[in-house]
Amino acid sequence: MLTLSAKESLILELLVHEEELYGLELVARSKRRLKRGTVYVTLGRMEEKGYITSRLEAPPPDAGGLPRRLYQPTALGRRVLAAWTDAPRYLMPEFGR
Amino acid sequence: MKYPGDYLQRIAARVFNETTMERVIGPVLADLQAEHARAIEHGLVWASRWIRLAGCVALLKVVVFYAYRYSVRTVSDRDPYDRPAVRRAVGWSVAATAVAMLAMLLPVFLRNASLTLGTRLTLLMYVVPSQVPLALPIGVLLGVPCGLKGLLISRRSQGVVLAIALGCSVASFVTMAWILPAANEAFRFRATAAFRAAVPGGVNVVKAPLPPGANELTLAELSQRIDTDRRDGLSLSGSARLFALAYHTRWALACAPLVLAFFALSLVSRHRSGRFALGVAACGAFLCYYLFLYAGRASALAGLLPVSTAAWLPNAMVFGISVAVLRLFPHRSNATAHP
Repeated sequence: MLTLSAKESLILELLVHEEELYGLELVARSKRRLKRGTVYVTLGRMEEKGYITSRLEAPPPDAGGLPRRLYQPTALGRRVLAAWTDAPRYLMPEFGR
Repeated sequence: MKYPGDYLQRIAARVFNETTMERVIGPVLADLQAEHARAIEHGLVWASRWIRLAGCVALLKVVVFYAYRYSVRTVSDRDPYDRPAVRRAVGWSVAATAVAMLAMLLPVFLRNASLTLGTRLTLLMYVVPSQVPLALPIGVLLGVPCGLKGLLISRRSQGVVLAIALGCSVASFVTMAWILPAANEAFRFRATAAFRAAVPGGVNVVKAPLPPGANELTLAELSQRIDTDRRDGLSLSGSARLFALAYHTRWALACAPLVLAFFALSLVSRHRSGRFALGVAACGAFLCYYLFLYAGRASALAGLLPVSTAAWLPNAMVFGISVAVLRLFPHRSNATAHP
């Protein structure tokens, strides 16, 4: 069964809007609704569920360290988000429209 | 060149698997390093330090949340037969405890036939706390094997049974530490008053109230008494040994439900027998437990064994036998999977 928590829904909304973001950008754009301690676990879970996919950013030639991971929504993630957003309209027609 | 979080990454790599490192730990550290590098580039020394600290806290939170999530998944993926198995074990344990309590209270009730029914029932209420620490281990020891007989017992079921046994141990400890001394003292006063009233000329027959004995002192009072005896150089005297034994026995008896539940689980997970055979084995173990308890008590009072050794001997023996059963016998794999 497909499930979507409030945090997952927020992450999907941000990713659908921005196409590709990394963890700290998601935290920054969520206006404090996401925390840096929990966002990565949520992102890992969403990747397991198939809602998002990720790739490693190509590191700049002069900088060292670990390459950052960029996340983008999958087709399934977009469909789940759409269904999640549309559900209230079907459940409560007089309030949703 | 060293980057912030390199050391943490090396530690995490020892604990977590490759996927977790790639999906969860790696992104935290990558973002930390990128943010830190940007702050250094702009000459923001204090900001870089703050980023480093915040990154480490975030990593710690990630580890905690990941561990929590893993444990939640374990709980939600539980075997559908876990709950009935635990319910059966608890049901049998409660029934066995109730039967043991009744078996121990009935003689007390029948013994004082000269008293009125109301007085006998009131006195019985004072005796209940002294039977709880004895009835609980019997209930756990008989109930767990009978309830789980023939079932495939998951680690989760075993954990739940041990957790319930731990709860019984805590209840037993609370009873022995605070409720039992008060109940014993109240019983003595009440019984003295009842016998004075019942026996003609009882005032002369029943002696004046005695000072509280070892079973009427709380743990704190016993500890205080032991300290006083030690200070006065009386720790080897008979009464000092009695008080020290009462103190250590209360701690050891409180652990009995947990130790006996461990023994019952080791028995039921390794031995494929009928309920009767398991019941007989459990009764045998219980008799051995109390044999060691009373033999240890007699040895300690005679000065042959240290008091603490005598008190903890039964628990140590049963625990040793349980470990031996787990080590020596193969795991039972051909049991039925459901009740």
